[in-house]
Amino acid sequence: MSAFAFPLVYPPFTRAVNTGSSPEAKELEQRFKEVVFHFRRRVERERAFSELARAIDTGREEDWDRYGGIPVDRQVAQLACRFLNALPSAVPTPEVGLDPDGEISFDWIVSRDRQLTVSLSPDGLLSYAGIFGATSIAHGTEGFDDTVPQAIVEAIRRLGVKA
Amino acid sequence: MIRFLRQLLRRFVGSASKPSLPSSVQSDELLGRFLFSREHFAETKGLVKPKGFLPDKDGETAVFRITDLADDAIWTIGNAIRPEKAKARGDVITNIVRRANLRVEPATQDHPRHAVIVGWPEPKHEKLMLATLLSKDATLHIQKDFS
Repeated sequence: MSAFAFPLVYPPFTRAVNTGSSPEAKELEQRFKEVVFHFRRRVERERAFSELARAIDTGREEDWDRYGGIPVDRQVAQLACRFLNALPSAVPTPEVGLDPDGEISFDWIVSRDRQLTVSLSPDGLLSYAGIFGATSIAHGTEGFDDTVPQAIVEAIRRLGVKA
Repeated sequence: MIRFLRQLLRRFVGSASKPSLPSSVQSDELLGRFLFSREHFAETKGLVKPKGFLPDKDGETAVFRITDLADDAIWTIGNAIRPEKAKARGDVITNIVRRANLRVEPATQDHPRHAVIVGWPEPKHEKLMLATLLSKDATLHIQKDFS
């Protein structure tokens, strides 16, 4: 049997690599990676919710973008919250923003030629468009019923980013 | 000295207000889209987000014809057209816009260099797709005293 005891003040990052070679050390390393992974993902999701709050705040006024931007309505703000919560855990967290027509948008941007935008309308319609390298594109419309449609999950996967 | 000052004035101000532009927009002309909201660009990734090119409720994306203008003169326009200064701008060649099956039309009522990108399709996902293609080939410029 093996036990793992933390000292009172444990410096977990004193070494960049796991120098242990026993099966227990390897298992411990794997579990530590999982903890870090879950923590990072949680932080990313929190960041997205903060961006959503900021976008809603920005979109309170008429002409918020100085090009006649339409304000965000309460319905789409609530749907956007549900969309973020519905994202599968294996999906990377998007940047959240605002479209000129008052829709909330979710951007996955890897580079200028690898990016995907999904816009959510007040009536729960998801419009998406993405570019996946030099020649490959995809776009379409899906309904949102508290599940992220498979076409959008697939489009995110095509970007080649990990959560 | 007077001639030098006139040349200087023409370079930074005169050319912005009295352009000798062709009446129709040429394919090699550079178009500048001024951005007033942080929502519309990703500074860390150095690109204009697709939403930065999406049309307004009249179906137009306002741009300025900035070929042959010095950078200072371009920002002079961007800082004058709204109550606050532009935060950034996205530059795109007219030919890129036309390749996306969109049109560029001069709209000089308010400014001699003003133009609009029109011909956007109605479905939102098609608009997003075309805006993404413009974003891919646009160059982001951040105004110096903004960031």
